[in-house]
Amino acid sequence: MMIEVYLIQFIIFVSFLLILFFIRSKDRLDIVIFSGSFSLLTAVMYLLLDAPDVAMTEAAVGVLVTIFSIYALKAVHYVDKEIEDKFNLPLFVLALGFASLLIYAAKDLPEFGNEHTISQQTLAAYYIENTYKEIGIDSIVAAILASYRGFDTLLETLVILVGGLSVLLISPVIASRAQQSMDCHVPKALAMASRMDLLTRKLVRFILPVIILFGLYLQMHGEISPGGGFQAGAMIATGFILYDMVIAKAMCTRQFTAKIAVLGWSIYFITGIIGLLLGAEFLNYNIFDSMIGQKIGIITVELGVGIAVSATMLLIYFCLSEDVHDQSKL
Amino acid sequence: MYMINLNYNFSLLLFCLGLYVVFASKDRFKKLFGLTIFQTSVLWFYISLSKIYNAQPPICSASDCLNKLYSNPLPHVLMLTAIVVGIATLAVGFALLIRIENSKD
Repeated sequence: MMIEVYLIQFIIFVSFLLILFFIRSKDRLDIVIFSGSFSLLTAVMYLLLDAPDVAMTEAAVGVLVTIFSIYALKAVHYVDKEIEDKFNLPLFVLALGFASLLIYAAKDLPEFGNEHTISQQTLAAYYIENTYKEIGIDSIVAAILASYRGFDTLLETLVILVGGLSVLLISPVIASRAQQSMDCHVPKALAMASRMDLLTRKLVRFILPVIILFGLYLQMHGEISPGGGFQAGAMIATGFILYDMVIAKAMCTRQFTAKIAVLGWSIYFITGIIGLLLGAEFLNYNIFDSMIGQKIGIITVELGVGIAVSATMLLIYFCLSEDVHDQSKL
Repeated sequence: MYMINLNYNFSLLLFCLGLYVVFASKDRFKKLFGLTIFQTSVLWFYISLSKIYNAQPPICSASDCLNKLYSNPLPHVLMLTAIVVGIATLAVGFALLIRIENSKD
């Protein structure tokens, strides 16, 4: 227990230094580097706080944030010029004052790490006690995510989907991409040679199957171990993005990717509708009067989430990585 | 007391520093990352609420569920989805940023 506390304090100290660095930073690339390291520290912190699912999500998403911000910088004509960002003392004092007021109020919060506080007693105790009896799977987080609070997750996935579609609608339309007839095609071997240097390509060829395999593992073992649709979706999307960046431009149209994302969300929604048609409530999987229904329901829902999240992340990547400056008009 | 609840206090400090960056910075790109810090502070706070000393991650097999101590799984679920929603909204911010900065010249 003691070493845990020391590690938590150490991570808080390093993050504090990082935040000060971020506030003072005057270069956009510095900010991206800050974001990556802060995300890594946060993931370790979540792991120390006994939240492996959240840590995994943060780790997978941190990679995507870095990729997206680099491409955003590329699209806005990033040149190495300083931001005129002056240190605003009155606002900083105001922020610190607000923080000290909040910290003063935080005295009344339940004590950190204590099992007898009110927040650990009621609903959480119910979930921990009844998950195995009612749902029959090991991971309590997956059970709450897909079954107890399935409606919640349905709409959260919809928010992610709508976010991806908004990026699609906001981004400028590229003429050559729009006229493409096929949905997806992989260029021939000769065309691949020009993308990156040999060492990077060999290395990525070696590491890419491992990333995809790990993503699929997270997808399939979501019920008995940390992981699930969200983590797997982000991980698999990272693999595809790596392929697209380094080995070959796998020309999927944005529309095709968007369709796949909608398909993923529809799998989730239709699972709910099936419950409704068979005489139960929306997203109620207890239709076979046993735990089999719950298991099938949770696996289907996680699959839908995985497809929706990975396709949405790919869609965002395709939209942000278009080389807008090659085109004369936006 | 302040050292024991260090996690809460630090997340509240992050909350205010994130807000400070959003208000004080002139750079839109930096503002977006200020918002990200702001979001991370809230996630950090909720995950801190779920921590129990000497407890295990909330994965139990078979009949173990009643005998052992597990950290609170509910905040984990809520924050897990919030992280992925966060990146989708951040990407919308990037798309808007690209449109705004490219329309100036």
